[in-house]
Amino acid sequence: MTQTFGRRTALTFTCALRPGGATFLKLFLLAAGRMRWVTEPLRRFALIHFARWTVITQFPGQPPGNPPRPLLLFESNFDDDLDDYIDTFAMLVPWRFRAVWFTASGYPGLIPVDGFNAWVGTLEATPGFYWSAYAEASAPMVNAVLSVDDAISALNARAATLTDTEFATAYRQMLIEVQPWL
Amino acid sequence: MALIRLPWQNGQPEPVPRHIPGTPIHQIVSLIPVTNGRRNDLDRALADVRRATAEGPSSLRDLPQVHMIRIEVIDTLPVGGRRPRQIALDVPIVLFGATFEGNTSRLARSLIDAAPDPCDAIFGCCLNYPGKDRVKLGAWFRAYEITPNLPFSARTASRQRIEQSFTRTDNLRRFMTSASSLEPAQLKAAFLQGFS
Repeated sequence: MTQTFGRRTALTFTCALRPGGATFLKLFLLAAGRMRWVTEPLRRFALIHFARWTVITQFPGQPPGNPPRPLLLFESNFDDDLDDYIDTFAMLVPWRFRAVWFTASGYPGLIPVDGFNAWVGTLEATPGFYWSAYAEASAPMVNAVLSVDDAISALNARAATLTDTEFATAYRQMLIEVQPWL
Repeated sequence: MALIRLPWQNGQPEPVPRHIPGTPIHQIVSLIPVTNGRRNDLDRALADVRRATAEGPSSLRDLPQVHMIRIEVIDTLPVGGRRPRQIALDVPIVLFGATFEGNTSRLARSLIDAAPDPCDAIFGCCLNYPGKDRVKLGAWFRAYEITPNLPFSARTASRQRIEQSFTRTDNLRRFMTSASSLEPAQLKAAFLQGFS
């Protein structure tokens, strides 16, 4: 069961890893963190706010051998609902999707997506509490207002060097540029 | 269960939290064992907070410099095999995750200042809970921290900047309408007055 707040959804689940899966994932995730192009689609498709992938071989503060097998803990915070999220993820980043999840025991494959959704449903943590700032704003809305703010600041910075007429022209040009985001 | 030695007991300095590169954002994920016999108390505390948040203004609805807080309970673990299977944990685990700005002491202070009673009610069900001391609470979160192999943040701006941007965008919409008939000199003066 996911948790929601405003239009934000939080998903958390753990899956056991196949033999060798922990080593592969650690290397893959290390490379993904260093090569921006691997995670670039996540920024472009602007559905996710935050996400984390963690390979767990030992729970902190617990006796050795806990968990009995390495786990992948996946957490994500995204807009709208889980089905759309997984559908979009699978459509836009299929090979990255498979590279992570094929290491998990019980992974049913990417197609059909319904099978993956059902599998995730069996692995989710028990919801407790979830809160997100600016929760009524989607990720694209946040990006939009930041772009508008940048344009306002840029015009402010130039204003002192412009005549009144030049400023009016620059102001109208700025409105044209930010129109898609207003 | 083996007890871990908590940082303040060793006289260790405030550790540096996990920073997401290229952003002002930090994060922490802690997996904290639930104290034996307190599982039902934990459920009640979480239900109370959810109910309070859903019904109206809640102290946990707005934490300064915090982007996201999540608390979940892990009662079972998946085991391998073609068919998903779960085994019950002897000791349930509270997953505490936060995305925030600053350090963990500041995060702890935000929690303590905004919601002292829920802090006690929820985290008081967990092992070694140090109480409402912001330094010790921050160190406690760190003591049970796990380090993500890949943290991702689409946010590259601080919360203050994001909220300011929403305000300035709304102001620009209103300004567009009110300034539509201004002469250039008046336009420039009005813009600088409204957006400097």
